[in-house]
Amino acid sequence: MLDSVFAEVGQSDTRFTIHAPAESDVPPWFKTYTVPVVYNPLPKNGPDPFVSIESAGAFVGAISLKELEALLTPPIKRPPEDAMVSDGYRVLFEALDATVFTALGRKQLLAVSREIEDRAYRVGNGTLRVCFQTFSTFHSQLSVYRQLAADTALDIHLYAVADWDPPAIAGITYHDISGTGLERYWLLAFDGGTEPTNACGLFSRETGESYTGYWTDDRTLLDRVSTELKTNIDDSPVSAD
Amino acid sequence: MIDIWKSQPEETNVAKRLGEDELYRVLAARPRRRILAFLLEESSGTVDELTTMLSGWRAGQSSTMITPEEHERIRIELYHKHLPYLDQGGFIEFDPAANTARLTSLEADIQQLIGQSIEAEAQLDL
Repeated sequence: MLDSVFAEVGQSDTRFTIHAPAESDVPPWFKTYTVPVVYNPLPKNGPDPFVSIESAGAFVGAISLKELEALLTPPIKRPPEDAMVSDGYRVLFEALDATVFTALGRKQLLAVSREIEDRAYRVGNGTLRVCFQTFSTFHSQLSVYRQLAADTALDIHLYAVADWDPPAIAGITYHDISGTGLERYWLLAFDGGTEPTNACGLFSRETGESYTGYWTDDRTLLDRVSTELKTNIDDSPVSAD
Repeated sequence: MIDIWKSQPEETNVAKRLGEDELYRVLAARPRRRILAFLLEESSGTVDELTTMLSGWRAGQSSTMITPEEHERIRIELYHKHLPYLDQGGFIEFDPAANTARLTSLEADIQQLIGQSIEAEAQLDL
């Protein structure tokens, strides 16, 4: 049901150019982005490796490769608030928000998930929708979510296959997704509550041994996914309580 | 150290240029030294390529994003200041209509100086 969201993300008029002395300097993870990545050889007495970003053929930003790698390593670090005011960063994250990266291992998924949970915790209100595939997987995150529910006014919705009976926790609504096709998704979607600029999400799909997915701040995308979950799961009679 | 040697003028020409203020005025701007370093290896380049290169240099120094506004400022300075200045000094041939710049001749001593300045820069930034 969320396949269309993934399909859309692949279309983009953004292009990354990596400028580096040798093609082997292009980090392997970069090549997994569906945004086109081009390599441009740097002369010997040139600058340190950097990435230039184009949207519809126009320059939108340049950043050193070292800095970009630091920004994209989970847990996702965003620049401090005052730096985010700069158009360049906004454009970068907009460009990257529409990218899909492959080969996320469980550890990375958890690291990025933690980042989103932290943000939800800090805001303290709003709706957090989470799909950890199975309730038994959620079991390992139980203490985190107990705390989230107890310490905040968050409205938490948990979607998973009911292979385990989770305890009743005030603030958490459980939804059984057995037979819905959602089982292969690992999702988090936080709407930002009273701070909409803090909306964020992680959307990923199990592909063999790992996950294909991306994190995003795009509120339109987040709204769509939330709506899909609400209409197809929450409001359907198979929801557990 | 740059080891690509372009046409080497006679000794008298070399001595003469190194004694002229004009040479040092031309070299007294980091962007111009960087442009010459680029053209020493690539021979020629478009204004676009040079703007991207200079933006890359700037990106490495600032550890933040180079914005479209900065990129445009770099391009304007390149097109209206640095390239004409280098052309006047006889270092390059700048074609404003075609948006290209080509290295003309650069004496061995000056090539060396530029190479050393780039190396020194790299050490400064660490």
